[in-house]
Amino acid sequence: MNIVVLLLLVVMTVMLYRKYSHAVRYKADARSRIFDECSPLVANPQHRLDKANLPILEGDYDGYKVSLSIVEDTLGWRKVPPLWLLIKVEANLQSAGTLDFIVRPSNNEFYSPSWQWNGNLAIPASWPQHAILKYQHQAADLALINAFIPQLFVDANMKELLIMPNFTRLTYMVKQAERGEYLIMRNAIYENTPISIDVVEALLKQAIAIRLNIENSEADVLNQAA
Amino acid sequence: MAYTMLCAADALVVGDLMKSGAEVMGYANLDTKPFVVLTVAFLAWLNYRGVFATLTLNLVITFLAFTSLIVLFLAVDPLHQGVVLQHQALLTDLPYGWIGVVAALQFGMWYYLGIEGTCQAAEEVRSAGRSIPLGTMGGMMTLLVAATITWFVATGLMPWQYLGQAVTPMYDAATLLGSSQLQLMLFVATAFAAIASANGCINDASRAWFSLGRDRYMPVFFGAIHPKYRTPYRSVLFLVPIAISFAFTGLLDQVITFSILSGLLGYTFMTFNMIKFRKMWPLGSIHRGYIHPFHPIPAITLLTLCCATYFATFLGYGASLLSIMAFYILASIWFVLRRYKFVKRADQFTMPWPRPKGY
Repeated sequence: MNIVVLLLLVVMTVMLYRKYSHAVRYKADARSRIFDECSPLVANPQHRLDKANLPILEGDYDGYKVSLSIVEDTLGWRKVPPLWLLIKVEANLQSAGTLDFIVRPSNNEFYSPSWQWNGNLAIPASWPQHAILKYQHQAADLALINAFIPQLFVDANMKELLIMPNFTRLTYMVKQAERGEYLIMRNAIYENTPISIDVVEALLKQAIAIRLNIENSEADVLNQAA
Repeated sequence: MAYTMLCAADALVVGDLMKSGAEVMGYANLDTKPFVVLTVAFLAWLNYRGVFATLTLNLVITFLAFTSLIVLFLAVDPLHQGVVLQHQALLTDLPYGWIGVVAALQFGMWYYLGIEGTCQAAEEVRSAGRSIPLGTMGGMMTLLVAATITWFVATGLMPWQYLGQAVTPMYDAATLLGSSQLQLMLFVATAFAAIASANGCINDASRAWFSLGRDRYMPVFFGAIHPKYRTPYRSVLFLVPIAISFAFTGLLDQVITFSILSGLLGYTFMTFNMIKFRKMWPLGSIHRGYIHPFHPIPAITLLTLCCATYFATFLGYGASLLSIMAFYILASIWFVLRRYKFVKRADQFTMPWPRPKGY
């Protein structure tokens, strides 16, 4: 009897391990293809993995170094886990000030650095009001992004605009985990399809337009000072 | 703290269950402490690795534990009194009268600890008006069925003198039935139920601690996220020694008392908050996903239950009541004088609501 139970336990352990390995491989495979459609979008594309083994695509676009990365948000539960797409545009010219605008914040936006920032600004009337606007040390000039924000956040999937002296970043909910799988098994399983090039291109253009506007203003200031 | 203590109590049950199992197999006086440490450490590791793995585990093992309870209920032939169940002989008059029932109220409240979580999911469901009553009633029905089966079977098989100090009554009930299969099943089910509960508690407690850190109610150190697993790993690790040290006392009833008193304080404040909230933002001033038709009756009922439970705790565990109250009063003084200046309220209240009435 004991041997039978022991054998059953061994068989069960092997089956569970195989199932786990299959799930890990499936997930890794799905992740590796997430930027397949976007590779042609950038010049000199380079693929690598971040600390969480999630893919990062780096390259050049419209004269800027850009990087696309994803974040699986399984921190907040009792809600379908989102998959955030981070679109980062590296600066060609350092700008003054910082700014982080997050809509519908719940203070568990771990991908954002601003939870440790001390400055808060009042949200301009034309911007989404269920939001938080923060800065550290010195705020970036709101007038430079005022024209972009209302249009940018019309899309409910847009979550955050982060402006730093050396880059600008957009955070966008590109996918949500499969609802049925989450409701029944509490698993975060994302649809195994690459991110659409159209979505990424539209976001990249907006991120670069914002960065360009900031840098043009910065260049004007420098020219005047010179 | 309520959930950390609850985790300690669950780990204690697992340890005691292992001791009972070892006795059946001929190993008397097994040390329970390694099992307590193993339970908490294993679950902390799961939570350190990722929340969704832990929640899936919970769902599966809770389902198995509940099924075992139903099987046990069917096995005692509940329709024929006197065949297996001996309620006529064992369920005699109330040994301490109704004051004894009142004195046990804290354990009754503890059984339902966490059911308010269904309401906390209000903003994350598609239709709060439909889901909140459905979720709450579904949760309450599940708990009521399980609680009724537990007391019905246990009191039909064991005298109240034994049940008063039993750590694993359902396993004991299965042992008394003489079926080794049933005994094994209840052994596994009891372990599963305690582990599932402990797992949920580590998950809840660490996230609560993490949120306190993010909102600056606690040092920001606890607000950190693991760079790879995206979990509040510092909060998870911080709570492990606290849970283990309470479980090491071996005093299940004392640990439960600490747990429920912590929860009870939260419930007490909820009653005032429910009434205050409705006054500050009257109906129509903000969008509400769900409006309770009988407000403020639920708040008053809860406050009455809380007061009765404080009294019940005073009857049996006066020293524990006083010590935990002293702890929370000192913690509150520390918070008001030292910590509150770090809290950033503007970061927490970001919804574009109108100014509250009277402010």
